[in-house]
Amino acid sequence: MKKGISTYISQLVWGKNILLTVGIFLLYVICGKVGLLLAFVNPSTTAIWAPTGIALAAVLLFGFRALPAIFFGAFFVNLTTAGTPATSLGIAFGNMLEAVAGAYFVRKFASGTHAFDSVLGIFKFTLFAVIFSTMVSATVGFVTLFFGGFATFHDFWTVWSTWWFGDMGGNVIVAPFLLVWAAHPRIHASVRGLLHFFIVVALLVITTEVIFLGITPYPYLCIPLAVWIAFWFGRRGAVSITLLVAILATVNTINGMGPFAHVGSPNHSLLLLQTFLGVFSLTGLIFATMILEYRNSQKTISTQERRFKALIEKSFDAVVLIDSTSRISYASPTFEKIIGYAPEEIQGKIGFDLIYAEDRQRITKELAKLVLKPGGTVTVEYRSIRKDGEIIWVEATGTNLLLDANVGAIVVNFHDITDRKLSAEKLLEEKIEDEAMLGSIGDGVFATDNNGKITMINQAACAMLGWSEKELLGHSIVEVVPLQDELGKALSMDERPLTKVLTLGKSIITSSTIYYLKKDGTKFPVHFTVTPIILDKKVVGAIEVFHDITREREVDKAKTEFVSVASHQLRTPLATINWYLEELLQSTSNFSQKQLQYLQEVYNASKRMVNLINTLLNASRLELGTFTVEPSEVNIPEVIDQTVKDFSQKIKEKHVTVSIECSKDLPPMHADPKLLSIIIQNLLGNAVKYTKTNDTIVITIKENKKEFLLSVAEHGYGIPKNQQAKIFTKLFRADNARMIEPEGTGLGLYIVKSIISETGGKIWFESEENKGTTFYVSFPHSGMQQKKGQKQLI
Amino acid sequence: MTDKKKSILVIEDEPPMLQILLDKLKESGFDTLNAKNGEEGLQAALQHHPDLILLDILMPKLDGLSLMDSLRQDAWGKQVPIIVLTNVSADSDATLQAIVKNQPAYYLVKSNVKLEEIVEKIKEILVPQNPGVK
Repeated sequence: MKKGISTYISQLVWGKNILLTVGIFLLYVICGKVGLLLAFVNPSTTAIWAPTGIALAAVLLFGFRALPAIFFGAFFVNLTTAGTPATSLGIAFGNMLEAVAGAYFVRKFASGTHAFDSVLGIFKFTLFAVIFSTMVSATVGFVTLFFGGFATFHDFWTVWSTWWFGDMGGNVIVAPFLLVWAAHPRIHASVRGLLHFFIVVALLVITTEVIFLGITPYPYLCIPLAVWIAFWFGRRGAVSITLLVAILATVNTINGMGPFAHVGSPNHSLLLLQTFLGVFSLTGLIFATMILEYRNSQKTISTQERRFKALIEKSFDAVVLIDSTSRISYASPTFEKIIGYAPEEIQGKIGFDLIYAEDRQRITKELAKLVLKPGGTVTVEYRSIRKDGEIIWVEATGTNLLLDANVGAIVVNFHDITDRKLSAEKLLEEKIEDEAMLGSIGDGVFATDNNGKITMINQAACAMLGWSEKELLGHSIVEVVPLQDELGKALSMDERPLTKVLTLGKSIITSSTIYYLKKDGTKFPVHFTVTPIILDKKVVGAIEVFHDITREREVDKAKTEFVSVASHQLRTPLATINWYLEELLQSTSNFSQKQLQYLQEVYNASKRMVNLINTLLNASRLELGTFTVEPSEVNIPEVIDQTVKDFSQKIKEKHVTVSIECSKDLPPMHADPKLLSIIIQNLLGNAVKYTKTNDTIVITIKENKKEFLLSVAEHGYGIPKNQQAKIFTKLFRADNARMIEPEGTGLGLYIVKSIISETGGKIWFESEENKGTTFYVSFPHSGMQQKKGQKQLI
Repeated sequence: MTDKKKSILVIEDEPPMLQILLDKLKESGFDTLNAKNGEEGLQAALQHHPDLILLDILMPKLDGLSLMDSLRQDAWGKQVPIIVLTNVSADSDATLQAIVKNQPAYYLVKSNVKLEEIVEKIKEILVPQNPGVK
């Protein structure tokens, strides 16, 4: 450890830094010696003490490596001048401490060697290094002298202040010179620049001499020149001439010349001179630094300016500066691309003239509003007329910077939005068209999201429901508008077709009558189609189209009444004919066999007529869905037997056999016997009609786990494939059926199908032409659903 | 079984129908009375107290359903068997209500029923104990 420290110290003193140490030492000693020549108040105390500045600069530049040289320099200078080794040691210590303190503060508060790069740095340097740190040396020095017996307490102020001032001079004049030059040692000067420098320096020397020879007593005459030099040659110029003026002025003052000589004691003169030189130094240095700062900031600004200019000129947006009357003072190059006029062409022109006439008034108003709002911004779209006459859409944003000192204009940046505008216009047009189309649909149409909230509704729907579009949009239709069934019972949420569609994702077309309850409480019957809106296989909403069927119902009612009355009127003569014929046919003895046969034919035809009327009547009732279903426990085989019996005549005529296959233990079915017999009559009737002679018609009745299953099979003509789909359609008869049996209403299967679907059953068939047809009817175990209607089928 | 013939009042506005009905009933061994409209029919019924009434619905002056209503007000008329014989289907509310209220023995649609069947129904009502009728 010890060895380490001693090695360090020896290195510190003699090692690599030997040249540095010797250099500083020599400089310190020489300047110190020169300074002490001027020691008037005490042999060790002088008003001119350059070494302080050298020491501070050395420590700032080289760090603590410079301390030995300072210490020994100070010791040597003092030892060889006056006092004892002890006092010299004390003074040397004080001088070293002063340098350390000054360097510490400057590094900590004033950016170290960069202290002179900013005005603020200079002030901090002045405060800490020039004013504060020098007090250290003055104090230590005086204390040393006092204890060494070289100064009395009486001398304190004179000695201390002289010491302080001398050291201050060193730090304010010498240190800046060394530090500035150390930071910027290289000179790049032109011949002209050098000439300029020497002329000014010569002028300064002359001025200084004029002042300090005592020709004119105004020392501040040299200030303008110092400023000039600072302006042209910067900080190095300033610190250099300060040193030069200091030397010239000091020499002259010592020689008893100039404004500071003879104002008191020689020491007092030197102190005044120091003050002047300090001010002179700081003035030049601060001025030079201010110029530097200004130039640097100018450089930064112009870099930024160039960048912004490039940004504006290369921007996709055109930028235009206008005044409050829209007169253009600047247009960026992009302006030409958009409007067609070159910037220089358009400068000074009125911007409004470029706006399409229809839009001009609107934009003029907008600009007038903007002018009243300093700092405000407005974005407008308008049509502009290009140089080539083409009209384009632009979007422009104007910013009122009329009061901004840097701009003093309204800045307008704009770009071409013609394409966007046209497509938007087209879209809008299409949208309006679509809306008009939807709005004009006579049926109610609305769309909902997947929560049943209405997203769109047309006028017809609103008018029918009695709610305004505003009241319905965004609301759940299910919550706002109730649906009722035939009996006036409100449909629950889950029963609503819309809810079903949204949950199941399948379309629903209603067939039974449902009523919409209007806002005013009245109701109207509707039929509707609800379709899911499916996006990416997900139900995102639904569309409901509904139709007020009030009118249809009225028409239907009138039709039924007509049918009712008509059937009565038709039946009466037929009934009369039938009854008379029945009587005639009974009196067999009065007629020949032939006559009886004729009468029978008339009777048959009349009966058929009655059947036809009854069938038509049934069809009209089924269509209204107003027939009654009154189920009771029915033995199906019995009904079948009865029907077969009814058809026995025809069965015999056609030479067919009917075989009934009934599973054992078939339970009774919950069914309306009348309806069930209508079903079987029609199926059996068709089978007999459309099979071939000698065929066997097979009727089977089974019960499986789920349902009752009835089938009627024959092996006759079959239904042509291309007509199978229409077989249950009202008044439809297959082509071959017409050929085989010209008589027929085309209503039988229609009625059967209607009854079965209304009562909860199913009907289907299998058929092949010339091979036969099998009809199947199934009912769930629960049988037919009860239905309260007004009318019974006959 | 009975010496005294049962009397039947036929109220029917259509002459041919009335005639064949009367012929058939007579032939079947009934005494007959007849009326050509509702008013006449009601009067005849209350006056002669027939054993059974065959009643048409659509008739001039007083329709069958109203006649039934009035008849059921009468002490005798309350229980007299009535067969409604009409060509109007029993499908309107008014008709159905009248049937429920006044309880005719049968509601027959003329075109769907044979003369013979009518006679059978009458016999069924008037001589139910006689097994040889059908």
